[in-house]
Amino acid sequence: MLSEAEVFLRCRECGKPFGHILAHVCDECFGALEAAYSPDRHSVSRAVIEARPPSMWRYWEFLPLLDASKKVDIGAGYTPLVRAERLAKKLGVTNLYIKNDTLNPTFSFKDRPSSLAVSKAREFGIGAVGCASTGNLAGATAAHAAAAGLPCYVFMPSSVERTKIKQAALYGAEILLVQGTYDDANRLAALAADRLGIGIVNVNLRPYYVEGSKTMGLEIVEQLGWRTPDRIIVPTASGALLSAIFKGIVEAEQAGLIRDSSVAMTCAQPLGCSPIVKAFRERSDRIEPVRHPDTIVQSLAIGDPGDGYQALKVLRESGGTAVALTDDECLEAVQLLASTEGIFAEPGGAISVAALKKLLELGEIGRDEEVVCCVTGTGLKTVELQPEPNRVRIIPPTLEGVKKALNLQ
Amino acid sequence: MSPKVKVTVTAVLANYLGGQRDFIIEADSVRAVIEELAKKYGSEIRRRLLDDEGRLRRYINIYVNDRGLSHQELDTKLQEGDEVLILPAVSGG
Repeated sequence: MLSEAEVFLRCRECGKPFGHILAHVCDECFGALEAAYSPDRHSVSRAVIEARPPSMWRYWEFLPLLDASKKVDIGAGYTPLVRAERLAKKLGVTNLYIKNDTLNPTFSFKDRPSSLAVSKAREFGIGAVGCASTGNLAGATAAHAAAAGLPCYVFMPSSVERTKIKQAALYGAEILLVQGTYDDANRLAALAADRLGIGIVNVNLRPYYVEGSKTMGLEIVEQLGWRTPDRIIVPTASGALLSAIFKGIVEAEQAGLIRDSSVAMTCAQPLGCSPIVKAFRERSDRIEPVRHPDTIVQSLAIGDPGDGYQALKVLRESGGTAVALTDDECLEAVQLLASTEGIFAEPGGAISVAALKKLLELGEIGRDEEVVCCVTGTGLKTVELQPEPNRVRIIPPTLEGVKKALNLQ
Repeated sequence: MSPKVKVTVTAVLANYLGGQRDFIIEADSVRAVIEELAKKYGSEIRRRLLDDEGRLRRYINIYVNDRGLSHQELDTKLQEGDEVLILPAVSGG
């Protein structure tokens, strides 16, 4: 077991140090608290990491859990980094990878932060967990709570896709469908954390929760042979994933695992809910919340992004960019990714592919760049959004029927 | 006479309000709510919520009857029985 001096919290805005406590905002400036580590905490070699089991927990020295016996691990992370040659050819680029996070235990990247947050809930001795969710986090938190034997309370907007509601309920969570937006659900979850003593993974456990998402960045650099690509395109809602991937890469450099942390972090949001893209494109320092998101891309429909300012800072510091995509562009990207690489994503996951296509068309990124598109969630939960397929025919049970249908007469 | 409104804050803000999280306050705007709180519990709460130009700080969200206010709406008139919620902005995702 580690000591509390090795992992602690610090205000990301004013730098005020806090101990290893259950809190998520600074009591001075109300900025976000983030996990910080003692100077030698990250000392681990590439070889030691490579010898460990293929899970997000192989980056133990970068994660803020003190007591390994509290770990709740149902297999999140170490998902494939796929070299996407057919998709690359279609888009006219030479060097493209898909980070396929549809292959997590509950089929989205949200298993990474959930695994960590529920582990921390156990470490802090919290008796119940929960989350505010646009859909994917619900299943991820509920599954990890089930594995930990903890009750789970999920706050979701009632407009979330049915499959995501059913999935979370099947793991045994209590589901509260809020008649409103994600931001309404989030507000209630914040009050539940404050008043009811629930460990809400993305509220009072948030500084620990977001550290789980760092592992996507650590995996990308490891899977590329311990180096960064030129660009990582990230589906973005609150900005937490984009910020966490970059934090992981910077920490990998500080730890000497990679030589250079240069990478152009790139944000993809749906046009009907793109407050971070808008602020970036308008060179504004103020993120204006979107009160009424208007998109089918439910998983990214967060109007008031909790890590918006941090994401904006990362985009600017890393020399990245940001782009908004229409619902149709996201649905087309689902089809394109599935039909070229065999990866079936939800629109909020394939949006990174739509973003790449759009940025190439706009001439804002080079065709010879090495790009990683993060694909964050499966299409099976949002299959209702896809248009009816046109290659389906009903035939009689005869060879003649087959020949006729396929025009092979 | 100003309308009576219900004001709710979370623990991190209660640090500046004598540990209290629920209040009934007579005030005709959100700005007036903040002034009343400052009068009763000290001016620190005002400085924590508003910047030097009187604008809402970046990491604070204020809701009236569950509707989020933009930083330009601090002077919107309140009605009797309105519910004002003051929350740190960093959560979710």
